[in-house]
Amino acid sequence: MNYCSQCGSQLQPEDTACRGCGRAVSATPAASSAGDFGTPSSPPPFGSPAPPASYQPPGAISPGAISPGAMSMESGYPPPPPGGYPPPPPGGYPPPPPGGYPPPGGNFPPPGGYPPPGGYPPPGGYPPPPPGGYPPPGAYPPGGGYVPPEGAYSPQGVLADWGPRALGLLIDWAVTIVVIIPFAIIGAVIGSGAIYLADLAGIAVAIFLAVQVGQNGQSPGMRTIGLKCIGQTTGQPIGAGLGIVRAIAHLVDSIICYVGWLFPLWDKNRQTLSDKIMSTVVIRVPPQKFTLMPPGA
Amino acid sequence: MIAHTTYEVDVGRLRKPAAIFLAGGLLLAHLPAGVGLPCPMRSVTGVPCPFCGVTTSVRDTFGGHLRAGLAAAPLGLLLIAAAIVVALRLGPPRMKLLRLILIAAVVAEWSFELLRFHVI
Repeated sequence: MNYCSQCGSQLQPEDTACRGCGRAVSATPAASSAGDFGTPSSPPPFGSPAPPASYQPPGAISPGAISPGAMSMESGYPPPPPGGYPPPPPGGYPPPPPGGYPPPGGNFPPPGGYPPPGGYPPPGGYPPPPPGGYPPPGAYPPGGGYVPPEGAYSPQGVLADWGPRALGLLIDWAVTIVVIIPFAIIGAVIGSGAIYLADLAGIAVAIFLAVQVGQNGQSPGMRTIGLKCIGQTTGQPIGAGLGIVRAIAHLVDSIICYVGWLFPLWDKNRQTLSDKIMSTVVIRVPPQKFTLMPPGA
Repeated sequence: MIAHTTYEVDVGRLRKPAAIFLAGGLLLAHLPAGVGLPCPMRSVTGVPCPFCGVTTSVRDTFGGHLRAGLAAAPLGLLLIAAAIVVALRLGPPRMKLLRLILIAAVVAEWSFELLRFHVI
């Protein structure tokens, strides 16, 4: 029996080329008999086609020494085992089980592992955020369990209490008095119409502070204490013009026996009456060094 | 309408201010009369504001002159009672008050002061 020297397929006597790989077959008397190849004592003559895989020349490695996974250098497939593959069992192979063979073990998801159609929440169906906004980052202790820090929140930050706001106002008043005193002395010395010099200076300082609150959200006193005045809905400073209007609105806080100034004591949003009129809130920010002008101005 | 809405009062935060208010009232009763800030509205226009007379009322009440305190401003006695309740933690930490009631109370107090000062 002949075998292809390339793929090891069995060749019929009338074949001129291998039916497996197409290699031309040269008929040689030495290769025409399987018995010749199977006899270790009679090696094929020099120049004859390569023997099949089952041929073992003297001193060659036995087939059992080759690992089953060894690949042929030419085809990439392992060579057939010596003696060919075993015949099918009597009666043939068993039919596949109902439902097919189970998938091999691995990363396949189990049946039914996917969510059913329509199981996802509809667009926009997520619950709304909690009222009052989320606490600022860093409010969660590492040990677990949320402990809200003291103070009231707005979506813009921690609302400032009455005490810090009063301190900031006192600093601004101190600034105003320091500016007014020289003008008051000058007015007293000059006399006559110059008596109103101090009043004009006071109005000028009040406008100066109101513009700062409007533009940057902070007067010198608010910067020092760590306060910022922002719009209740926008979260941004209200602008120079509305800052002046807010300062005028403080008259409402004062005109009713100063009760309006006390509103942050009990108000949920810590607002004075002028804050309510102007829709502003005052929040806590990191304090800065005292400066008359805002940093970078 | 704003009058039908409620106004939430953070009562729990008022404990210290209430205690300071009561202590200030006790101190005021032993100070000479006339101590306190003048009402800007009354100083400028001559018309009392809704809260004019409260300082006098608190001083008179703590001085043992309850009738005089009531005659000066009924709101003063109401504030003293509320401050005691808050300072001693006898009430809830938060209260929702109907704005209509608050507005009516302020209007009633202002009317009382306007009558007392013979403005109307």
